Amino acid sequence: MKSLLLKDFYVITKQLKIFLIIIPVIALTTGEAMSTFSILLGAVLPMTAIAYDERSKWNELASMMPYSKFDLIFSKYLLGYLCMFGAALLVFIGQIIGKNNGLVVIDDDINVLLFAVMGGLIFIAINTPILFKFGSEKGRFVFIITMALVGASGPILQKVDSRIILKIFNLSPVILLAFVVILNVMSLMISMNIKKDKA
Amino acid sequence: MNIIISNANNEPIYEQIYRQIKSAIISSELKEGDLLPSIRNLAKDLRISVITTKRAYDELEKDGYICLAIGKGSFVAEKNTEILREAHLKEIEEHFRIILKIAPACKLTVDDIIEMFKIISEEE
Amino acid sequence: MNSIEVKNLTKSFGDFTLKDLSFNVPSGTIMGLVGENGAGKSTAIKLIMNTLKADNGEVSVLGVSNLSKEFTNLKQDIGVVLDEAYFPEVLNAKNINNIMKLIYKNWNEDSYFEYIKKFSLPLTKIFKDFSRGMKMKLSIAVALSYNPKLLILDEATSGLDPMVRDEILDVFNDFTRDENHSILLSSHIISDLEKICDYICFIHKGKLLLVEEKDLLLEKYAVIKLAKNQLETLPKDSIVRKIRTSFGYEVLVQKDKINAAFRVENTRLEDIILLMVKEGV
Repeated sequence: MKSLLLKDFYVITKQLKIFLIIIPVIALTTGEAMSTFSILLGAVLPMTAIAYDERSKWNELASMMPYSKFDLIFSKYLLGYLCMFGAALLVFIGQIIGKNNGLVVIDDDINVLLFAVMGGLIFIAINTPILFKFGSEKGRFVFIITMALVGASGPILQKVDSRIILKIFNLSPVILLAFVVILNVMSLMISMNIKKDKA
Repeated sequence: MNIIISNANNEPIYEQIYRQIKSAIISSELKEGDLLPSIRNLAKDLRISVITTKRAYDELEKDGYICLAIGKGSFVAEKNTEILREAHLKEIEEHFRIILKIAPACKLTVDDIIEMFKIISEEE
Repeated sequence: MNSIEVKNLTKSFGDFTLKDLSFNVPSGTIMGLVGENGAGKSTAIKLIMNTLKADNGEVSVLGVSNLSKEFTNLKQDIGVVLDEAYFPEVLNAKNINNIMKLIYKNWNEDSYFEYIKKFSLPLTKIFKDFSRGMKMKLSIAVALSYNPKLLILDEATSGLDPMVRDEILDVFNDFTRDENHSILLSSHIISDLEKICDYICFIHKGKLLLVEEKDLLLEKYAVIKLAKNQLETLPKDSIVRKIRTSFGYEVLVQKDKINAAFRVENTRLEDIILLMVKEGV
């Protein structure tokens, strides 16, 4: 697993460097919606890694190396989680700095952050099996549609008021977390099944 | 010992190896107890198949020219005088055949040849 | 022991079927898989490594069934070089060292960098900027650097210029100085296989046509070109296959059944094999 993660980090190095700069800037200068969006960007990096894999037919080579099917599949999930939590951390830091400097004022920002992270985890759970089944080219369509939905829901959510979001969290934060975890586990099982007979 | 493999003639490769090692042994270029290159190294050095070098070595062992010691390699066997004698007889026969082939060119009869041989052997 | 045992391997795709492939690669030998493009060589290799699931048949590699749980771990001892599957193009040789270190237990970093040096490969240039020859050499350097017992090479010399090909064949030749090392090498360049293989396995349109010791093939068979009247004087039982060409006949013969009237020269492996499947006019 370490080997695969290292390889993927090498592959997305350029993107990581860009994010390292852009995300804090976004967090410092914009409001909730953009911050939420930038966390999702972190969750999307596995797509780039998978795309590069496909270009060089890495999967065919990797299937002949001592990686287990689980390693090959879960490493992409893990990559997404790590990138997304990293992005969330950057947003958090950016917001703290912004707050201290009076640049940004956000209510309940931790909750929004967590909400975004949940969203990211759900996105990973849904998108990853699609990528495995249809490849990164078609997977991009799903991503674009999702982005469009998020973009469309932005204005709606603004009207909705973060207090309702807060309510959802207060209602059952543990259950929400459990739901997301179970979703990911199911997603992992589906991915394992998809890749059962293929390289 | 230099073994040269030629693709030009029709002789199978294992025979070429067999022949060259055998004459090296008979001519004492390879002495009793000398260690031969391993089957694998010989094959790799000559860029030929190990199956072929093994075949050559097996034949040499069967005909008594070399011994295979498991774990140690192949050695030149003790000189078997019978084998040597046979090899020398064959060589002499070959020489006779060559003489008989050339003789007609200068119109020598068999008796002429025998005369020549007697004169030369007296000189030696 | 056999380093690879293949029994009745069968796989069907839509328009192509690999049928009943059976052969063994004895330990310490080099087996060449010959066939035209699309014959089924790459498919056979994928089936052997269980990258593709076979419809039927059994495979064991280094004594382990390719369906068993131990097979994933066995890949620690197998070096693989594929035709068009590589590391992601944005990686460089140094990255690859760090990645391989974490997966191969016997990874030898010094050995890897020695091969890199020997092949004159750049350390920090990314894969994307490598020529095909360089990509192959890098893949080979990787495959050799964790002390594998078996090398599986799919078209590892195709698309390379003759000097590089020779250099690489030398490396493979040296690899098998150790009697525990074996190689399965597939290629459509028969002259390369003729240089280093011990055995030849010929696959044509998904079927196994022959498996034989390379030197025996060369000893046993020859190809002669004849006019029609000469053809009639050939002993019938010496003819394995004959095809009509635009200038006469090309005949695959068994050398030991030919009478002395015919001068039979040594034939290249390529010509023997090609004549087995060539279509006449």
